[in-house]
Amino acid sequence: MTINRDLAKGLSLIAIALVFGLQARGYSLGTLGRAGPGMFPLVVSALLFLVGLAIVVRTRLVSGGRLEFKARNIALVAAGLLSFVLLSENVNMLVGLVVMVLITSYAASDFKLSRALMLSAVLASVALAMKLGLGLQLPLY
Amino acid sequence: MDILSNLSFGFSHALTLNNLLFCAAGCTIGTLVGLLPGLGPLATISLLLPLTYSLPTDGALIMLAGIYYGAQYGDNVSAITMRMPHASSIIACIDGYEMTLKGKTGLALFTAGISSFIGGTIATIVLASLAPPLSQVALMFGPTEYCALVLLGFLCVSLVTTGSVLDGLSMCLVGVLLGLVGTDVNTGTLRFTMGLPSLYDGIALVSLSLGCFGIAEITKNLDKDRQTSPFRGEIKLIPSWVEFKRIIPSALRGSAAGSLLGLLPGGGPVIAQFAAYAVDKKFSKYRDEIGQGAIEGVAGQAAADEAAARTSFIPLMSIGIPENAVMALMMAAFIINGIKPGPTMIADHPDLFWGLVASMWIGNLFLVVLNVPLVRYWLTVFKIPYSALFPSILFFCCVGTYSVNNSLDDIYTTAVFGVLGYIFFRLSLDPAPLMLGFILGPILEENFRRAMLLSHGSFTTFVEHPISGGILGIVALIFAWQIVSGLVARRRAAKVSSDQPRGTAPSAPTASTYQA
Repeated sequence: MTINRDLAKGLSLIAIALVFGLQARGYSLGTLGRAGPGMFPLVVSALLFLVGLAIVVRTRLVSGGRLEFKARNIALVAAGLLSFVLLSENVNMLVGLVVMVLITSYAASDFKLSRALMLSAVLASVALAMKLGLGLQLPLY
Repeated sequence: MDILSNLSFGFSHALTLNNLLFCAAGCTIGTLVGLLPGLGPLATISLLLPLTYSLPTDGALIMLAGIYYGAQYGDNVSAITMRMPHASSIIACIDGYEMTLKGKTGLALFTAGISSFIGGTIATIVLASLAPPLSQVALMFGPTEYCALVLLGFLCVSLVTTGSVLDGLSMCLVGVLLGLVGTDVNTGTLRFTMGLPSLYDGIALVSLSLGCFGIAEITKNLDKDRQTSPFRGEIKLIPSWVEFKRIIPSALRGSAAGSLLGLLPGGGPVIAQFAAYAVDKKFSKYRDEIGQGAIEGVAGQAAADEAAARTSFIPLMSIGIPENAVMALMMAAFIINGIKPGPTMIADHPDLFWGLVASMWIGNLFLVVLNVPLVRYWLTVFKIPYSALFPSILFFCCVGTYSVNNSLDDIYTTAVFGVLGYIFFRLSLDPAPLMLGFILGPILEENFRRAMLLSHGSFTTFVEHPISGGILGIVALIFAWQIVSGLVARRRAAKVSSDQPRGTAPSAPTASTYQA
């Protein structure tokens, strides 16, 4: 399945404009002399909507490239970061660090468990040094 | 000429052997900490501030100056080698990183160091010779003038973006919308926060820049078949004479742009880098290469950033408000020593103020002679395989984001923008205009609303004020000129393609007119 990259681009920009624009309707508009919190976001998202529309129209004139998207690596990186925060909040940061390194390392083409474990040991000692040496407030343990 | 005598007094204080040692130590530690992605000058200085508590005032000042320059340089290093920017190095990410991809890391690092020194020196001269008359400039800038200036800044979009103008504009607007997230300054309304307390103060610049540039870049490298660090580990620092001659004009233009923009309180250095980059892209002899790893793209922004940071002392003198949090921390070194802050501080203690200026200059000099050569040893880190390097970078991103507010929730924001940044990359949308919109958007909204409040909703206020009217005139001129030159390019392209035999280049001319 091929997706036109420019079409996807225009449509996602329109989506962003709608997300912000529809929320902005909830804030009071005010008048020009006393602009409310809703006026500026509404104007900017309207502009973004128009630009997105123009990009969609442009796909009719210029043939855009094909959209390539590899979900695997970005998903692993994001999952690693999320588990880092969740584990740091609920257990401690050292556990979060080890799990993050294990998950994200899996994205490497030459993944080795032993190397990932060694790396987490090195990073843990760096984190300890930053906490004790520099006084960084890390919830390590 | 008491300014000159103050300056020499400042130098005589800064130049003792002890103080120089403090400066060297500060520079080195600052670079090491600043190298970690996400730890900018502010985080580094606040981390290392306790080191200076036991020192006398002048020693503490010069050590802080050393830390500041070290941290800023470390930031540039991580922007150039890994595309991990901080506020002061967003532009360094564009051409600096491209230079790394071409294997010219050492040259880019040297250029950043020497250009910031040139910018700092010129701005110090401006400061010493013209401070009293220039101090009035800040007072002439009201909300209408700021609005006009920001609109001029938005014109830079077409120059900082590498894609088409339409794409750049759209990213800039997305940036403006992201900049609106948080508490509305006028009414206290919470906007677009989705009920998350960590967004009440807005999206942190660190999260946005680390996510959109750094994490997206890591994933991009992981997607390649051969996963390697873009930085190859070889460093050739000293430029050839030809390359050196290319640094100078850009550094001078950058210094001029930075010196001017630094006079305005609020946002000076960051806007100055964008402005310097735009100026170079328009007027440099090598403008066609900028954006693809040209030395000018690194030199101009570094000089502008530094010059603006230096001339921002001038509004500090007239209004007594520090330009940014880093300067505020420097001022804190005064307060620790029992000196009351405020507009009269500099008049009452000229020796300390000029001591600070002299220390900053010496810190900058130290960086160039001592630290720039040392950096090659620290960069040997990159010889480790990418599969071990990138999880470490991710970890330091987390620590960097966390350390700004000591808040784990900010890392969620970084992760979200990492995913968004990757999607933007796949959609071939460029993050640099996004940062421009993110920084300028809130300034525009605040001042626009203030100006309209003062004029009771009448737009004529923007033309009635001479300075804002003048700037808006320039904006209109540039805009008209861009449209005309775009049309001319399109016509020429159409002519060329009709001259050529059919089918040689069907869609290429259309694509290039969008970039005009």
